[in-house]
Amino acid sequence: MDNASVNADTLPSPDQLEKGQSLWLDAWHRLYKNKMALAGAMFIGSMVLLCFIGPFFLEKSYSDQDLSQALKAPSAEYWLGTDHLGRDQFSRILFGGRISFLVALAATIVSLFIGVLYGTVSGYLGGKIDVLMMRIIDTLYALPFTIFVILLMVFAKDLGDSVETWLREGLGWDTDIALQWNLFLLFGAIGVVEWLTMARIVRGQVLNLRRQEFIEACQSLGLSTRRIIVRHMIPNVLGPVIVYTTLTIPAIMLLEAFLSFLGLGVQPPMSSWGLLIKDGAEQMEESSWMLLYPGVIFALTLFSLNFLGDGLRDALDPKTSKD
Amino acid sequence: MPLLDVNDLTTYFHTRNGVVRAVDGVSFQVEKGETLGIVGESGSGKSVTCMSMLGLIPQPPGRIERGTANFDGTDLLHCSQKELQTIRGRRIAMIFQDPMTSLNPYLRIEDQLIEPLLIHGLADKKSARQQALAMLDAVGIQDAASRIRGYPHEFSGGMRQRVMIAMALITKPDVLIADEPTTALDVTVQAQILELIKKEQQELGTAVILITHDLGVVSGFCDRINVMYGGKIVESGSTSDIFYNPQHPYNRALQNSIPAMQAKGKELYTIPGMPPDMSRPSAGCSFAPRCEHATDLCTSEPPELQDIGQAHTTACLRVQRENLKP
Repeated sequence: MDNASVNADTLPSPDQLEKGQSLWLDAWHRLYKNKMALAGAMFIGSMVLLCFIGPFFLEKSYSDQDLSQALKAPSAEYWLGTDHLGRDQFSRILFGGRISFLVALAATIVSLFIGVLYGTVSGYLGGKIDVLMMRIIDTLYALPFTIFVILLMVFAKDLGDSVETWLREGLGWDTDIALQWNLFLLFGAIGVVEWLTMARIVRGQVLNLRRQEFIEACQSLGLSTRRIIVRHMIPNVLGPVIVYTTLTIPAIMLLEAFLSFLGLGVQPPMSSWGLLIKDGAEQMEESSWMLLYPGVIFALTLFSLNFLGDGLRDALDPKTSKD
Repeated sequence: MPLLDVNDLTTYFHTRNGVVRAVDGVSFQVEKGETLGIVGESGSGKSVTCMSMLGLIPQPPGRIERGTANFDGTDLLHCSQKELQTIRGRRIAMIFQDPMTSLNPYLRIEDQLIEPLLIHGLADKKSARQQALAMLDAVGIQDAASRIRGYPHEFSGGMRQRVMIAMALITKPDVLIADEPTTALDVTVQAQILELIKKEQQELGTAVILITHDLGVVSGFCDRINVMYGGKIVESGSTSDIFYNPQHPYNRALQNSIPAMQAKGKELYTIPGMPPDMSRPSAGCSFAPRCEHATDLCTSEPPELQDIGQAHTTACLRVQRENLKP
């Protein structure tokens, strides 16, 4: 056999050589091989699309009541049945998903922003400032978190009402901000408590990085502190941050569902998955579909997010690298 | 005037277990284009000496207690952070021990190579890229034009060290500090890396400070050698003086413990005892507890470096008083 031709076949083409594979691309390939994570990502992707675009194509809105059609089992007209007020379950599930994803996204962004900033500053400055900043986090951790959120929601609810009256009477605005007020509060309240772990993770990473030789090498090359943080620190902490974020989203969705279940979160006639499950639980003996469908969809979404998070962790953690 | 004149450099670390005197009154000079070796065992203060000069000591717990380091009219130990940043990387560059962790894993080799040129305003992006390519080729990376777009994990340890050397030398610095550049590499690659540093040094006229604990490495490489022990220089001289005319008992013991010098089958010579605890200063010579020639004088009176020959200094009281012959 001709040796030269074998070599030409096995050698990568010049195009491949020139590019070089970044660790991000590497991670993507590892994620791509992880079928569960990929399936999870696809499920979440289609769920998000469905929830945000779907309602525009439905005839029945999530709030349209038809008491004559109350508690109907799934049929050709009502794909997933109706609830006790005759509202279309399918439409409510899609709309509820929208709220659930929004809450998760907004709260995650809040926690990401505060957490990454706080953690980086604490870890990079070090010394006494670091000690102080970490003790503040410890103190906040020690607060009974659920009670904290409940108190916040209860007090802030009155605040929402007074803001609405003030807007109506003082400025003459025709507004129903009190209805959405809860939603904004929910974003804030969850985000404000969820950033603690993020800050700790980022701080740990930064502490670790600060003593890495390439950071020292950067210093010895005369780079400024800001350039070191922006160009060399942040890309290196991004991996764990992404992983933790994907694992935070399901936790927040669960929290939102829990609060809505307790009647503290999203208020009717709006809908969220937690609220639907709560309504379903009240009717589950006669109309099991009211609990079944939102429950199954919620569970599947959480599963998918967790699989995706696990997959991302495996993909982004260089120690699990197989090649 | 020497290019770099370090005088009485003293760096202490203030830890919970007391003050660690990592570098204790070290003075030396580096002339333009020469090669200075700093040898000593682990913890003798070799690296801390050089890190102190570049302001790379973590503070706290570290603190530069006193001393000066004059580099071309600037005192490195007392100038502003801004001034230091314009010198670091541009006029004094450094290579680190472990090439596996001294490159940022998320940036292309090219982006890391051109960074020193860009931040010091020495070139625009386009010409920086050309220089980076030329430099990468010069340090012996084959097929540099395609490898330059690669990432650090696609390079072997020896190649990464070559990249580090290219990165350090791309700004044509006056001084290159090589902190154990070959320790993490296997023996065949070690020689190549040293040859490469030598070659680049001759081309660019850079002075090199080579920190190592490997006597074999310094012997063929350096013009002058400082032997450090317990945060102090105990003997300083030309390479031939240090190797063929060792005076200080520590230096003699070091020469004796080179395995290649010993008869096959014989038990290898080791220096008895342990390195000194740097947080507990001794009144006399820090090597005295391990020295076979130590007298009462050695444990009570601190020795100073003194000339004992042409550009050959030692810090052994007994050698200085000429009652100890090798």
